Amino acid sequence: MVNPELLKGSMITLVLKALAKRQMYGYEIMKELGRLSGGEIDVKEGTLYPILHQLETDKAIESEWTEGVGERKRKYYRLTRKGRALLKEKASQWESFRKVIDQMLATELRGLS
Amino acid sequence: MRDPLRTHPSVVNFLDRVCARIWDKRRKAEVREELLSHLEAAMAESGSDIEIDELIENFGDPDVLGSNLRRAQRTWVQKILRLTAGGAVLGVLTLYFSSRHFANFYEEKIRVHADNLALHMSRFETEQERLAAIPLFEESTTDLKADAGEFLNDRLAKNDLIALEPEVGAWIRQWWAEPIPDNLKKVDLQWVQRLRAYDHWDLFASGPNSKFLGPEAKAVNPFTLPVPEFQFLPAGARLHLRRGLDKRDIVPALEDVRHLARLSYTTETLIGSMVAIALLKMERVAYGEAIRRGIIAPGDYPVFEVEELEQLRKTLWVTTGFADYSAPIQARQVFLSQHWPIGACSAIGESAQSYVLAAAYLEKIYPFERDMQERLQVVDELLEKSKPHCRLKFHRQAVVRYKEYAQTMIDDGFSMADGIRGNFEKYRFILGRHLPFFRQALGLELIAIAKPSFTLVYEREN
Repeated sequence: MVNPELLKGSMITLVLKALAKRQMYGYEIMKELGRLSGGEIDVKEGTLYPILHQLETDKAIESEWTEGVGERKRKYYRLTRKGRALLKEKASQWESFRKVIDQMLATELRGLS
Repeated sequence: MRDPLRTHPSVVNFLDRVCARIWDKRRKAEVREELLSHLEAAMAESGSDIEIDELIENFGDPDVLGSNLRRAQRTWVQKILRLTAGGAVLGVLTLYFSSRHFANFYEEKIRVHADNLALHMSRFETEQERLAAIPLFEESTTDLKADAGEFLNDRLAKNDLIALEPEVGAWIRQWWAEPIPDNLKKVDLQWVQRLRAYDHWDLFASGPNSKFLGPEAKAVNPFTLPVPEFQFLPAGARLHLRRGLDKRDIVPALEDVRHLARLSYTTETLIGSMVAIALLKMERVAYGEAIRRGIIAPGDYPVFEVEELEQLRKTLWVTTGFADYSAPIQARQVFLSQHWPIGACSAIGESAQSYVLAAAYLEKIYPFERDMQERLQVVDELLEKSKPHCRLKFHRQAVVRYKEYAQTMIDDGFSMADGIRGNFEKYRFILGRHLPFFRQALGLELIAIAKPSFTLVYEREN
């Protein structure tokens, strides 16, 4: 299981990534993140919903209430154009960050060995 | 399945607590519906009623979730507005408490100033009595025949001596002994003798300042009026005295300079009074040099003693401290009950000038506000009492129309200060127009900075 402390700051990217394929409702997003991470990432509801609402306020995602036959109304979220651009930007930032950390850790490890 | 979940006590309690933190009704209903839908989906997967509490626990603290959702729904505009409003409230509170602190501080300073004046009152009165007999410092609005301003006011800004200031500056240190620089030798000083035809010097009756007088005159910042270049008077006086020494005909030059001192004093300005003293000190130096050169004998010309000149300088300065609304009791005692003090016209002029700005900040604008205009009443009384002694035409006009004149100072960014400080002062004065507590602290500050420094002359001696 990934340390939740390490996930801080990356959750927005992961939620955007989950919504990149198709529209989903909250519970579905949570399950999708679990699936995408192979069960390594456990997103709490208390974390997910504020992120969804923040992204909606920022117009990175938009929502629609849909009611299926015999089902409760569900609030589906989908990525907007702004959200796609944000995902691209966040992914690029993450890539740079990862490279720097990898490089630093590799140097440190060489020093230890 | 739907109804039992909606009415389950744990769910109801959880949703109530989350939604209690959200203020917008529509948002509240949406969040409620969305979280119910989440719980339903989770229940459908687990299928057990026992797990409802566990599912709810996964959301964490409902109060925290509610607050986080409320914050997440805030747009940037709302966040900025909220920050701005918070900042404004904090700013006003800070201003309020700092204003109260400064108001107390300045009130104390004003009180100490009044105590100091009371302490020095008898010495001041004694010195005034001694000096009152000197005709040079008489003040009167009657029997004025010829105004030197007609001749001088237009010539103050540019004249031969100001243009030659570098040479004047080097030469003045030993002007009675050092050779006169070539450039100064050519300077025409006929005007010094011509001034004997005048008995007073009015800075407002003619010349560049005359347009600021009269009922139709536009209000103007009293601190930015065209100020005479007074320094050319001492420069001209030195040269005139030196030529008298070199021609071995010193007495007419001494008399001319004495008359020049009188004219400078009758400008009813503090700087004019100080220049008059400086001219009398030069007269004294020339007198001593004339005796040394054997041109005249001691007693041939009635000069002021060195100590007397120093006493005059101090008294003229301290009079400015007494003619003030920061200590109305002492001001009334000095100006309204005894003989007219020397230096009173310039002192009242200085007070009137600062009154203009302070008055605008001491009046009551809003209900329940403290009105401190009574502090300024003494300036009106002094101006009234001064009528037989002082012209002060511009100052009388500015005091009556103080609001207009104060506005010119604020518009100028309180032109006594430049750059950032000037802008800071400007906004401080603008703010003072709208915040009662800030205005009152500012008014007290204006009173406290106006005059207390004038009595330091006495305090330093003690």
